[in-house]
Amino acid sequence: MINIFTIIVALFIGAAAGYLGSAMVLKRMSLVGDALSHVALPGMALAMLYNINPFIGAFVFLVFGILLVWKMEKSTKLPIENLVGIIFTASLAIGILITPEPELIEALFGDIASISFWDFPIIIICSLVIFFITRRIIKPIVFSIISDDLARVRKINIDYYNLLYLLMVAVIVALGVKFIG
Amino acid sequence: MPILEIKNLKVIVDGHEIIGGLDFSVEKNETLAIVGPNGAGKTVLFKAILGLLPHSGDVKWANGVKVGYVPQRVELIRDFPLSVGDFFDIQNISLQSAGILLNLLGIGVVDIFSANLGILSGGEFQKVLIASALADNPDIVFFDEPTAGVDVTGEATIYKILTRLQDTKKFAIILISHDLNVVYKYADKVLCLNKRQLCYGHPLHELTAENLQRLYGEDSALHHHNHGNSEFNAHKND
Repeated sequence: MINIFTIIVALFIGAAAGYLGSAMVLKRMSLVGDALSHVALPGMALAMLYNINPFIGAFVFLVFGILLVWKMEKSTKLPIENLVGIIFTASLAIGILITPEPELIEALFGDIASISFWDFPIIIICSLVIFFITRRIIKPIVFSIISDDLARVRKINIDYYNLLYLLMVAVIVALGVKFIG
Repeated sequence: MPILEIKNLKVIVDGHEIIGGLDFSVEKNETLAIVGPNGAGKTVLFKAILGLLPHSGDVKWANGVKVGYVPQRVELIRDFPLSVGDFFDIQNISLQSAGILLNLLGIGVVDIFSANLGILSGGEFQKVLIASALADNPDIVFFDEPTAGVDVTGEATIYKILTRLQDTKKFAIILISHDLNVVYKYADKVLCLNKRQLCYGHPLHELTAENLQRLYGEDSALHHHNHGNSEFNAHKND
């Protein structure tokens, strides 16, 4: 049933994801968000098997996947989308193998009407936190997109900002994947 | 005490020594020009000093030095949705101080701030980069061919403005330039670089025909007008 809570949740996730996502488009990693939801799949599947909140499983796998991408980007200097392509296709395959079939559709497509009582405050708080952190770090992030070298000369800690950014992406995807898929 | 002191700087990339054996220093309010042929390692030298490339040897900064950097080229995505005003804003530069500098550099401020960064010409964008490097009140500014893509009058303006600002703000300049006239006119010291340090000192003493020959090879006639150019084409045809 779609009620007022569902609409509020959708508004908060939508606003935070949209704000975060604008920098993603500028970083030319817009496909990453889509691929990341696949990384969440094995995590959600395992969580479902062991009766844990799927959000937690998704989040753990996303953080792991994102740390891997962040580390590989730093050491190989490959475009982030290449790395995402490699890691995330693999995790989709693993996810499909281990997700129990009845839950597969729900895990893949989400269900916005399925929020529980505790999901509501978690989502609102996480969305707000993401919104305000993004506001704080969007300037150095955009500057480093224009010129990595210039940002480093200005003593902007790009690696830190990128990691923070990717972690927020992980949170928003973990929140979103359960409801939006 | 020098603002920047370099001792035995060496950069090795994939097992090849790109530059090596560099020793020089930059004092407050001083202009050091770096000259050398293409591929001599000038930009690599900048990046090593600025900590953007791994290197060995000593790079010693004076305490609390603020650094400005104008790179040779910033590849800009043409449809990047950012206005010139936003570009200063994300660097926490006030539009007022940016406006003063842009005005000095010959860019009208009225509509530049609302213009999209992507529609600027190469020369205009270069001036925007120069303004953002200077707005922060740096103690030392690195210019990697600051006038690349700037027209002849613009080039003269830029150097005139730089020296005028330098007189009041006393910052040091390290400059990569292919134009030896610029070096004669504005530099206090020159460093000739072709993988190694071939000369270092006052331009009038160091930019001798002999040194230029060593630096640029046979083509040095191109750069040194007093020298005969009989040998110039022989090099290209062999």
